[in-house]
Amino acid sequence: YQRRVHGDYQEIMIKEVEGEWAPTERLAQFEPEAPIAPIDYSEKFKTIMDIFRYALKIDEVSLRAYRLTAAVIFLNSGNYTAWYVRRKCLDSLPELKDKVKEEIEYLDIIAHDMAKVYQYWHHRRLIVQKFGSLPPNEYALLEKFHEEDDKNYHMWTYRMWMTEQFHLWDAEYKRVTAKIEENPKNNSAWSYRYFLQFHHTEYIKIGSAEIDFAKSYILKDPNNESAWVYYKGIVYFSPSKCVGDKAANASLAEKFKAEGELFCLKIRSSVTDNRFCRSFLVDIYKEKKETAKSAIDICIELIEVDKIRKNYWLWMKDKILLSFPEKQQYEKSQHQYY
Amino acid sequence: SWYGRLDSGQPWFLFWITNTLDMLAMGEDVLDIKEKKNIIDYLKACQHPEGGFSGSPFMDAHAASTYAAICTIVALQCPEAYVIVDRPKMLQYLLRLKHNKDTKIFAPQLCSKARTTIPGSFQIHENGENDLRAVYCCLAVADILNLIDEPKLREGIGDFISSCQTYEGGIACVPYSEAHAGYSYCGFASLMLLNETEKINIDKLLEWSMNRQLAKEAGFCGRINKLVDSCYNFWQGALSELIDIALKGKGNYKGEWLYNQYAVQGYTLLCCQSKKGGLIDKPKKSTDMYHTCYSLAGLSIAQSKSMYQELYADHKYELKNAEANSAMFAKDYSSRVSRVHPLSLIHISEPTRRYAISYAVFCLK
Repeated sequence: YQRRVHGDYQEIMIKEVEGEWAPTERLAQFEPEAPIAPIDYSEKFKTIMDIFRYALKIDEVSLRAYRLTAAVIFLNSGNYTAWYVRRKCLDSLPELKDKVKEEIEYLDIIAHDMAKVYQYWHHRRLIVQKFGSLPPNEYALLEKFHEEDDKNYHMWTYRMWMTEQFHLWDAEYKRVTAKIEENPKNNSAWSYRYFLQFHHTEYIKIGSAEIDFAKSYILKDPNNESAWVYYKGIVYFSPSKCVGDKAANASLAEKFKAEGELFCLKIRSSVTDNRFCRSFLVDIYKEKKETAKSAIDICIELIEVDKIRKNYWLWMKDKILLSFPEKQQYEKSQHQYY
Repeated sequence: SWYGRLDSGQPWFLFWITNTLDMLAMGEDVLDIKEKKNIIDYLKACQHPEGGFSGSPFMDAHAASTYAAICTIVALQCPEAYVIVDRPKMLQYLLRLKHNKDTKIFAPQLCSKARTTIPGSFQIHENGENDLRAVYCCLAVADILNLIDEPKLREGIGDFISSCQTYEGGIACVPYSEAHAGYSYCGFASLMLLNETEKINIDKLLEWSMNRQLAKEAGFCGRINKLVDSCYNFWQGALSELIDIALKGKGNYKGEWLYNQYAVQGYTLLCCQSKKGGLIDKPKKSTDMYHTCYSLAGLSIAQSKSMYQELYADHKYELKNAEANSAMFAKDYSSRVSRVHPLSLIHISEPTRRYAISYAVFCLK
């Protein structure tokens, strides 16, 4: 099956597979008296599935069962049991035990239909893990998926696994930088960058550089939520996820917060109606009693600037008020929002 | 075709259909005895002899199909449905899918259990992928069948989910992946079921989730900088209500949700109704049952206000109070659908119980 699957070839493959099983080696679909939501199966689908059900019943693990799984996967890539049987065959048949490279080639060939198929990505991971090193065609394949949909969740999760498995940190860092430049609003790329950096390198070594990187994209487009959330993510990092000395990291984060405040104030005064700089300021200000009033003032601004989230900002304002009860004097002097 | 792929996920059809009919029927029984019997027979055929339900008869069991099957059984609300479930085998099945710290790694075969192990997680089927969908499906089933107190089942899950919260505030399918509405719902709902919501930073989750509502489109998207999709009415809207419950009724503003629930209703009613019937993801898409079910469920929650007081404080939900709790777009009651609970769309009816599920489910326990 090392040729591109297309119309005529499908017919041939399915006929070949059918031919390996006797007409009695079939098990029909269970059909209640009146099916609630009948799927309109084609004849070839029915036949292959009848054979597959029979093979499952007798628990067959053989070369013809292996070939059968390719037909089932072709007709229904979501058939998780077919993928499992395929792996059983690869595990136990002497003819297939070493055919890892061939299996990868098969996966490459069928890739064009598999972008959102959980079972495909899981299978690929297990096969590549067995292969033991980065397959030569892997990047080219990932690029093809990327072209189709640069935010494919399965692809990015697979990529993370691949990087960790084969220690591709430096090369991937360069690639993700290019991808962000290509599409600055690709949040999957930003998320992957966070994984590469903060999973692998010390906060203290990269904190500043990564903030500068995020800031540069914010200045290019102050409405790019990905860049803002990345920036906040660095400042409000999660200690359990950052390598390095926790105390040193914490004091660095405080420094970043102070710088962040200045940056946000600058954006607030130079860009009209920007909700991101304001929500970042609310985060910074609401932590301390001395700045709680400023936090509340900005919540009130956000009720206008970020209208769709009006209830959220009203709730936030009340929450801040509650946590700093002395400020309740403040509310008596204010107008319609109280 | 799309439906061909669902050949290995058939209980989902039943789940989407029964729940949709339930929501539209406003408390009336839509399916007749014969139709219910057909569904029950089919689910019986999907139950695997070693526990759990499969995507179609004769296949291996699968956690998502198991979830869909059990929720359908709950929705049917009749004893003939409840008795088909093999509870002891189900527990064994769930335990086989569970990964704990002591899950042994067998010989490095492709089919060995622990090839992709993460303690505290579940595989979605044997030798399948580990991720948060599996965790939620397994826990919801365990909760409904009163198996959730089993220690080996609960162990480590809270920490696993905690490690899936990203810098963005939302929750990803595995640690370090991207925050996503579906996984955020699965993760937080799982913590609710375990009563371990303190393991996650709720403020950050809420902030991320509320920021998924788009100002122009009025509906929700699933990840930062992505497009609106009506199914997120549920994944985000239900998450918002679950947070309100976790915060003991302090996650709302004067009873209204923290997102703009009127805007969500507007988006759904004005932009997401297909001329052929059913609901759609966004204009120009074609209708499918998944979107019909979840957009409607999201609509149900958006049409209501916080019910924390009635359900959890007073333990006294009365259908006649439904009007007082409603928040209808354009004050138009003609598009009212019946209220579902944010945990698994279970229909809220009298008398109330711990998660406000129909009392008839008691038979399963």
